[in-house]
Amino acid sequence: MNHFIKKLLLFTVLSAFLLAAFIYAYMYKFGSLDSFPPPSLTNSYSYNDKLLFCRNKKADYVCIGSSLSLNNIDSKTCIQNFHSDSYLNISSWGLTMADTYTLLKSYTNFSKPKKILISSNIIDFRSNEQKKADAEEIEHFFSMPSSTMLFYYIKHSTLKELLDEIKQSKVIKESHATYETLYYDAYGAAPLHKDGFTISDKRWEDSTTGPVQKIQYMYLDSIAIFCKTNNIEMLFFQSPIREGLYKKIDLKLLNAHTAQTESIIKKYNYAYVNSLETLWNDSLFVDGTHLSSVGAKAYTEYCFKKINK
Amino acid sequence: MLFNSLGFAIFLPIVFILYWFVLNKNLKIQNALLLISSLYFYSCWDYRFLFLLMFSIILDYYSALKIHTASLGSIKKFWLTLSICINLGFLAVFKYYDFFVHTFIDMLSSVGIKANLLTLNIILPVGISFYTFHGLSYIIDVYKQKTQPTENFIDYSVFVSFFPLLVAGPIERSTHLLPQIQSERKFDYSKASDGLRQILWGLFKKIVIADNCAEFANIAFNNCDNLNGSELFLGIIFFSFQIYGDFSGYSDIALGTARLFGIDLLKNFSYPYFSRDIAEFWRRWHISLSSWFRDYVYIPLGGNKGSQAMIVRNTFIIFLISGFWHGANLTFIVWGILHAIYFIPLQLLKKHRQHIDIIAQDNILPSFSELFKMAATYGMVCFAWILFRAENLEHAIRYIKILFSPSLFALPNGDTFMHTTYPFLQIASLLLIFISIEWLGRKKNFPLEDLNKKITLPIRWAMYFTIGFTILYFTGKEQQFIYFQF
Repeated sequence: MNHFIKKLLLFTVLSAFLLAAFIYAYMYKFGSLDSFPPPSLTNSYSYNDKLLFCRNKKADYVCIGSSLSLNNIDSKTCIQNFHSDSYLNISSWGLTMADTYTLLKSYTNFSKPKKILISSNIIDFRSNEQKKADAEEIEHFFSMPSSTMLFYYIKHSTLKELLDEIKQSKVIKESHATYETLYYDAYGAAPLHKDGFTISDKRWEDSTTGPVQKIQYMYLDSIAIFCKTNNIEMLFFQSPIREGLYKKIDLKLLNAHTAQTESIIKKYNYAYVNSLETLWNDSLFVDGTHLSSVGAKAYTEYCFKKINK
Repeated sequence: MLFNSLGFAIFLPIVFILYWFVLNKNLKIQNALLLISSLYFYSCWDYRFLFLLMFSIILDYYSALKIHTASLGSIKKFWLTLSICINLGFLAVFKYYDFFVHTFIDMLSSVGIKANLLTLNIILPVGISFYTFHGLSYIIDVYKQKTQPTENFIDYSVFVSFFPLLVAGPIERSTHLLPQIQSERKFDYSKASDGLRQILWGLFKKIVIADNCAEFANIAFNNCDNLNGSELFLGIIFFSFQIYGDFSGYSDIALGTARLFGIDLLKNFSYPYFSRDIAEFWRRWHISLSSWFRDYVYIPLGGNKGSQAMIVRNTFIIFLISGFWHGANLTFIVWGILHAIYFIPLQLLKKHRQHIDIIAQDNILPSFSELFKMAATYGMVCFAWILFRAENLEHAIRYIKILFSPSLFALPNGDTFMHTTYPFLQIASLLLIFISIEWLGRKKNFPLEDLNKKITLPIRWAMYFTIGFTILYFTGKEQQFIYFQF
């Protein structure tokens, strides 16, 4: 019996060692030793990566939302205007209002912010698809110590996913000059640097407007109610669209969207800035709606100036 | 708690250590541990149906004792009938109530009568088909005096609820399992090692083969109207390996787990796709169920004794019940009838027991004749699987129509199976490797059995690591075990 247990333990330890060695060698060859993929708590790599970044990080001022918050909001400008460096950008690609609501609740149960900032436009209201994310699991993940990380990998990640993401993370974690960059600054934002950036014609010409899902407005309303109930101040910035696209956009749809979002935010007396009142030069953008780092600084400064007035 | 889950990976070692290290000195307490862990295992599925399981256990335990102590035959019969009726009654209500109501409504509407009977959308308790049959086999064996009833309630409860076999079999016999529960178990290194090997192989079949074949099968069955015959042909091949890998994989894990506790369960699968005729297939597929029907339904009906007509009738009834056992859907019933149609000619020609040895026993490869017979049998089985997998008869008919259209000879469209977790060629290659390993191991209970007797330790460990790594790598979209729905 003892012999059986000893052999079993020895085999298990040896196998774990071989597996770890294999993964390490794979990372060395195809990935980067500095950017190990996150555990797959959700079905979005960016979301998983942001959750890993935000673990055990409490902040008074939080920027939350989709890539329009991740890429378009300049961290330094936020810190200057909030007069505090207790700031975190917990945004991720493709988060709809529904996803943002779930994430906000999970984060607030871990660390209640004083203020949240959402940068968004019509593209965040077009999809009904919600990320597969267990709110409770995310909430626990925020506060779990590093020693439990292995448990999350075993529970949520598969070996194939891990190996595929090792390759992927090398590109997106080490370069600012790609749409998929997750090269965060110290506060979790992912500014897009134009140097060496290859602009995609398809993305450049994407008109971005299209039918919206009414349920996303309901979720925006829920976010506002949640903030009210929890004494969290909310700032909503309508993210810009590049000037050259205006001839393609369905302006009626866009105006209806801005009017709707404005009425929701102002109903709760929160600050609302509509950057679409101004035309934004194409040189500030890397596609129809995502700003370069220079554009993000200009946009963030513009919004805070409007608020401070 | 699925066998291939983290929860089970934590549960099993805890129970194992308590069983062999802490409670091994006292058989009663050891059995109590098995009972508590089995009830916990079941409650992880759905704690609401624990009462049903316990009720079934208490009913059969008590009824068996009453049968044994009764002096009058009529009283014995009363308790037997009561137990059978209540057990089958629960099964009928939970499994078949809505089916009967819907079928009745359809029948009435076909003659122009509108009915609005109440359907209950009853949740099917996990494992009810299996533990009900455990209990029935015990009560019938006691009635026929094939076995003595046990006065130890815990021993009997473990017999019914033993966690490796609780939710999807194998369907055990009291004459086989109960004596093992009642006897002291001594740790057997060889048995435990083989148990681990069997678990490993079962996990490979379930995770690597079944779950990945499922993706391709689902594409074919869910989109059959938009695919051509050759794609549907591939779909049914993949389904045949999905159901085999899934169910036999589960059985392997169940058997292997039981062996860790010093208990041997009945073999449930014996390489059924290497069968040379349908009769051999049914001696190799879900063995515990087919032998249960043989012993408790077929033989009491008269079995092979009597006229040809009676034999045909009895065989027909068995396959009909077998189809019905699988689920409340006409497709399962038609599936059963189809297998009866396959089987009866062999029986009438007295050729149903011509292949009782192992195929190509003294050779590495099968002869052309054996290969042809295997292919023909496999083809018939796969055709029947269409009915098993289809959502309803209409779906099955559509599938068959497209399958046997001229598009069967068209090339599959390259895009059809594009959006799966792993590429088609990768899974197809794995399948071929799997079939080869099974073929080479066909003389054993499972291919990795007794590996320690032939291969040195470093090579064995390398093989285990490779299989384990493959399991980890090919873990795709997790699929529920198919037979849990029964």
